[in-house]
Parts: sequence; structure tokens; C-alpha cells
Amino acid sequence: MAHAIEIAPDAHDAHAAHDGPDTGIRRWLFATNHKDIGTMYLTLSLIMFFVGGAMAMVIRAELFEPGMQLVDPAFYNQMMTMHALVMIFGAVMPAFVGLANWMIPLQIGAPDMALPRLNNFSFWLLPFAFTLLLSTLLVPGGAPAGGWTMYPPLALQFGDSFPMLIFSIHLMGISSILGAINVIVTILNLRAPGMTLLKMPLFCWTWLITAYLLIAVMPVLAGAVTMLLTDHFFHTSFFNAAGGGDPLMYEHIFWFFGHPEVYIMILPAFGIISEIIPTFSRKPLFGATSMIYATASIAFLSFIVWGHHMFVDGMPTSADLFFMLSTMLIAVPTGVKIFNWTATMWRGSLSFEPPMLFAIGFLFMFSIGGFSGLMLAMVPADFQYNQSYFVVAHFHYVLVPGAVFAIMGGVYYWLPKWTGNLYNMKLAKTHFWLSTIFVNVLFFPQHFLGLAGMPRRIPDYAVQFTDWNMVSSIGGFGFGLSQILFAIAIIQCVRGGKKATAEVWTGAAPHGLEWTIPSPAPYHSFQTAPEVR
Amino acid sequence: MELRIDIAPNCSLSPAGAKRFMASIGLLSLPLSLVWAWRGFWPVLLYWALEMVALGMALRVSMGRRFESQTVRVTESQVSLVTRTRRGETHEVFARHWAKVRLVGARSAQSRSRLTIESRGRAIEIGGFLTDEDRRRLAARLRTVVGGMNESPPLEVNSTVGDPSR
Repeated sequence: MAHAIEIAPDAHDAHAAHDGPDTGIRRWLFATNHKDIGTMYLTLSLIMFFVGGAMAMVIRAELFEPGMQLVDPAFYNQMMTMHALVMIFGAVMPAFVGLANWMIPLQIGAPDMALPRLNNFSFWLLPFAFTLLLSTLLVPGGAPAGGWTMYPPLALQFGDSFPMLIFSIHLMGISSILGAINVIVTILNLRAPGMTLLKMPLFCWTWLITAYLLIAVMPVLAGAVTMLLTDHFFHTSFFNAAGGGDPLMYEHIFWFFGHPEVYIMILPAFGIISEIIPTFSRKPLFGATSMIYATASIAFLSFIVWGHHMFVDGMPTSADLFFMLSTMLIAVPTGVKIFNWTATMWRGSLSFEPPMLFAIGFLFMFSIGGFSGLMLAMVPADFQYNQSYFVVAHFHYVLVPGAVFAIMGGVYYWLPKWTGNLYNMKLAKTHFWLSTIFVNVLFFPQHFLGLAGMPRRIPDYAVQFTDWNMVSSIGGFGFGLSQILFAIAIIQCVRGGKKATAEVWTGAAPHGLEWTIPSPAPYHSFQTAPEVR
Repeated sequence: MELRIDIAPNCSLSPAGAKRFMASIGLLSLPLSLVWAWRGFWPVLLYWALEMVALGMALRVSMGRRFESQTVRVTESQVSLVTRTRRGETHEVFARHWAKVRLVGARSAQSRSRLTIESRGRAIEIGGFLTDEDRRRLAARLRTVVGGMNESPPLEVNSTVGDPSR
């Protein structure tokens, strides 16, 4: 703890000291301040959200009616693949990293991230990675079209886009690993005096566990795509059956990374919801310690459930049983979380500001995704649901009203702290209600389509699926257009508005170090480490 | 009468804690990578090793701060400075009456300010590991006790900047 020492004004020092950011492009290009880098991550994420969303609009427009209307099947497959890659690696993950950059130092009382220059490097890898990925749309053969999972031998038949895809995934992976390392080192080494691990806010806890997951699984993804590359260009046979390799093993390797990846995209969302609900319930989080253990349990279980993506691949019955039961086990810690959030709200003095609306929306709709996940975990049922639109409905319920709603809730929660201005509450609430209505119009009918037998990843379908596809597409366009309100609310808030207090949510008495500093958060916050009692 | 100022950065992770953390993440991820390597997918192990090296280096760099500390002792006649780093200790002594404290502000957002004690052509940096704000406070404090060139102001009580628990 730094001892309070009186500052004697000094004309020479005051003149020479550089307290604010650089001006112009240098501020962003050479940014080392966690707030600037957080802002860049969040901006990139928003741009990618709209890019990936535009691809989704192409998909839904094509599926509005049976038959081929707007695009050819090859381009449809490219859109489907690129939509997934852009949304996962470009929108959701960078958004969480952006929130981590902004909030972790503020929440643990650190002056910045532990390794600021590494932080800058981690961010600047991403624009190059996505430029490379998106430029595959312009190369002969078009963009990757075999799905984001890149299963061989199909993936090995991509055109010139293949090495570009692999290189961009490597860049994204390096960025993720370096970001995770920075989060770990910051949380472990830069906590303010008195901020013990158990006193740490849930958002930091969930990020620490997420970073742990990233460290554990990213080498597996890097290894898998490198082996694809060597199979393609150097005639190795890791996954080539003709050379003694096993394409099925790629699926094992990919999903060994892929399932923890799902939790990498949802655990920080749990942290955000655990920050928002207590504030607007005006109660401490119910069972905070059990929330930490539940998060750690989910992370552990995420390593032993990958086989549930492969039930129809012909695994031994014992393996099917193991993966079915371990997958169902995840419902226990997840249930603990849902219970604790509900118990926090129970008899609380609730108010329904936009962050709380998004948190409650998350609670309801993530649970729908969780329940359909339980259905998919059952081996005999999965044999029916596999490769159907039911799966599409399931993971979109987890990722859109789950992860994306949590990100939006987090942005609405902390935006006044970042900008110093209150945003237009009416606009934000309109954004919430339109998003909630349309996201259900978009994804709920996909359950019916899947159960009726409509396969996923197809540009055309049998006529009996027309009605629900039309409803789903209308929901898609409505949801897409609603997001323009989100961008407007943010831009308006950045440009000005009613001034926010340090506490921002006056009356709700939010808990945490970030609410002890002024709004907007000063460029250099916690230069002297605060003491946590 | 002597005034003593201990300066140390805030580090919440102990070396034992860092070792425990590296062991826990290594014990979790090494067996996984070994299984893949054993099945013939050895590039996974290669990337695991690279990642562990990066993580270890990051922790080492960040924890390097823990080994850095300085003690400034100001007596009626002398200003002495003990600087401790990973490589050992150095001692410097200045005549208080002829020493001066100098703070040069950061030139840009990427650089940092620099605080030195200077006398007769010698300049020793103090608090290089502190934040700019802490460094400014320390400079103000030192100026009140060291004074400018050809000054010897009266001494006050002990104080500490940084983490005194170390």
C-alpha cells in the first residue's frame, strides 16, 4: 500500500509530465493503456458483429423460401462458414477480451494490465487476421465453405483460401493466448493489497478460469490446423486415410478444443451477469463462493464432454455413455448458477435498467439453450437431432441470447463509467425489447424445423419447412435491424449526454472498486494501489 | 535523526504462488498434450511447450518487480540509497547539502517519468518500478527532506512508498 504523501506542486514537473493519451493515430497504434486497448477490442468486435450479421442476413434471405433465389450453393456455404468464424473469433471472443481489458484492472485496483506492450501486440494481430480471413472471399475458389470445424478431407479441398484460413486462425490463436497470459499475470500479480482471490469480483474470477481454459486448449487447435496444413502441402498423413492417417481423429482433436471453446465464450458472460444482477437487486450475490466453484467445475467438465459432438460417428457404447453422462453432469454446476442468480433477485429491491433487462433475458433464454443441450446430450435422441436445425437452434440460444446478451448487458452496465455520460435509457430498453422479441422469432422456430427433420447447412429445403423458415427469416431481419439501435445508443453516449456520477447507478449502490473512481474513468486509474478491507 | 523511505512495487503473487500456478496449469495441460503426442499428433506437444515458455516468461517478467526495491536514508549530512535487484544490492551515498532531486516528466504516453538524485555529476534513478503518480509523490516527498542544491531542510518522520510488507 502506498503511503499517502503530500504532493508539492512543481512548475517544471507539471509542464513536463505527460498525463493523457497521445493524440491522433499514435494513440491507437502504440496504445499501451488498458482502456484504449479495451476500446479497440470492443470496436473491432462491434464491426465484426455487423460483418458476421450481414452474412447471417444473406443466409436467412436465401432460406426465406425453398429453392435457390439469391446466391449459389457454393457461396451460401462460404457465408455459413465465414459467419461462424467471424462471430466466434471476431465478435464474441474479442468483446470479452475488450471487457476484460477495460474492467479487470479497474476491478482489482491495478494501474494497467501487467504486460501493456504485449497487450497492444495481442490486439493488433486481430485486424490482420480478419483482413486475411475476409479476403479469402476474393481468391479463386472463394472463401472456406466446409464449416468452421474444417473437417478433413473436405477442408483439404478448399481452394487458395485454405492456407489463408489456417494462417488467420494461427494469428487469432496467438492473440488469444497472449491475451490470456496477460489476464492471468494481471490477476495474479497486480491485485491491490487486501484483494485476496476470494474477494475478487466474479467477472475477474470467470476470466481467470477462462484464461486457464484458453491456455489448456489453444495448443490443441494450433496443432490440429498445423497438421491440416502439412497434410495439404507437405504430404503428411495425420488425417489422410490413404497414407495411414485417421480423419476421425481430427474430429476428436477439434472438439477437444471446440467444447472448451464454447465455455470460453460463456464463462465471462456468467461473470458479467453475476455483476449486474446483485446491483439491480440491491443485494449481495447469493452464494458467491459456490459460483466460483461452479465455474471451475464447468471448466473442468468441459474437458471430458467433447465426444457428445460425435455420437453419430460410431464410438463404442461405453464412450457414448461416458460422454452422455458427463455432459448431463454440466447441468449441475450450471443449475447452481441459475439458482444463485434467481435467489439473488428473490425479495430483492429490483429495478429494470437496460443491463438488468439483458441479464434477465440472458437468464431465461440461456436456460432454453441449456435445456435443449440436455436433450442433445441423450445419445438416442441425438441420433435424431444430429445435423438438424434443432442443433442450430440450441447453440444459437446459448450464444446469442446467452453470450451476446451478456456482452450487451455488460456494455450497458459499464458504458457510463467508460464515457462519463449516461446513455439514452429509452433507446436501450427499446433495443432490448426488439432484440428479445426478434431473437425468439428467429431461433425458436428452428427447434420445430429441426424436430420436423430439416437438415442444417443447406441452401434449399423441402416445401413443408417453408412457413417456419419465413418466420425465422423475418426474426433474423428484425434482430439484425434492432442492433442498429445498439450502435446508435453507444455512439450517442460517446458523443455526450447527461453526466454520470462515479457510482453511475445511484441508488443501486453497485459494489466494486470500479465505482470508486470518477466517471469517465481517468486515463491513469489506481496509480496508487487502493487498499481493500 | 534519520529519515527512511522504503520503495517497493505492489506484487500480489508470491514466488511460491507462481510455482504452484505453473505446476497446476502444467499438470493439467501436459498430460493432455502427451496423450495427443502418443496418438501421433506431436505438433500439439510442440505448441504446448511454446505456450508454457511464453506463460513462464510473462510471469517471470511481471514478478521481476518483486525483486526490485530501494531504501532511501536521509540523515543530517547524507543521503544514502540502497538499490536491490535480482542481481544484488548497490549502495550510493550523497552529501545531503549538495544533492538535489530531479523529476523529468514522461515525454509521451508510451514513456515514463524519471526521478533521480543528483550531485557532483552523479545521478542515480529512484523508483523506476513505480507508477508515474507514485513517482511524483515520492519526488515531492524527497524534495521536502533533501531540498535543492546548497539546502538542508529539517528532517521529518519515516514513510514508505510501495508495498511495505515486502
